[in-house]
Amino acid sequence: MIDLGIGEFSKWLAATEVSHVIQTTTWIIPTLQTVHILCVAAVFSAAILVDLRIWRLIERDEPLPDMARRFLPTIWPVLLILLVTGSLLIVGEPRRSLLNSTFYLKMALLAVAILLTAGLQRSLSSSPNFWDRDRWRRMAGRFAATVSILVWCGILFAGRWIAYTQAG
Amino acid sequence: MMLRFWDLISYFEDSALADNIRENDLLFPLIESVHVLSICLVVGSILAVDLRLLGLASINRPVSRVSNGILPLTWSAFAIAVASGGLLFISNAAASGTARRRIVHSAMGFGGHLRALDRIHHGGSLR
Repeated sequence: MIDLGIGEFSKWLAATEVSHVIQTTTWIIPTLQTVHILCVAAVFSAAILVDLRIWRLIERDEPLPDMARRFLPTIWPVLLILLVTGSLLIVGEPRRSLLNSTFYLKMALLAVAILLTAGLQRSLSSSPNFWDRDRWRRMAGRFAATVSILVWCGILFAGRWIAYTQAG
Repeated sequence: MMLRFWDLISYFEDSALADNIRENDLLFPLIESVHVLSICLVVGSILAVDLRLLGLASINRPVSRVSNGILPLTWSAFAIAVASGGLLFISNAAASGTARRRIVHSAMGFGGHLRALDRIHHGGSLR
């Protein structure tokens, strides 16, 4: 069963030298978590700013494509840093995430958020008035922005909740 | 005078609201998540303005327009951070330390935010 596989892998990971160093060197995990949350702040804010612009709640005088160009491209390199810090955190504490359904929920939401954000970026680069052409486009844009906000918020909630549902 | 201050803290800590947050399994993580979320928005939005001030991002847009476009979000997020933080403070559910330590944490949050915004408002002429 999949459960058995992950459990065994998690045990194996926890016994590795790298994992041991991360676990026992007092400053490593707090540092990784700090860098992780700072990067989360950057990515989350970038996504939310563009979503709020779609709703015309901020930066109304700036065209959406310009707004997207200012903020969306920075998401990708920062996500890479998140991947690195996140992976190291998993290596250091495998049980906390790999045996935790909340962690997988977070990853699933992240996948959705990545698709939504990449889709938004693509749509605007190919045709700048993609979400502005008619009433239906504008409604669709606001719907997509709302889903995006909810998904990104979900990721942050799940991230915090991991600590509360982790296996003993 | 100092006695009154700690009495005020105790008053809120002993309130039914604080008890609910402390004892409810869902409420504390929920409020804490909202707190984290709003702080992320404060930090991230100020980062965007700071990068503009440093001339590293959005350089083809005037500083004043960048800050006017983003700061409303910063302030709104800050308000939510203060509200959620206040609820967390009085519940003292997590091992967040003595009241004194929690006050320092909150003061740093307030101070840091206000100082950052003051710099932005007065540093608007920086290119």
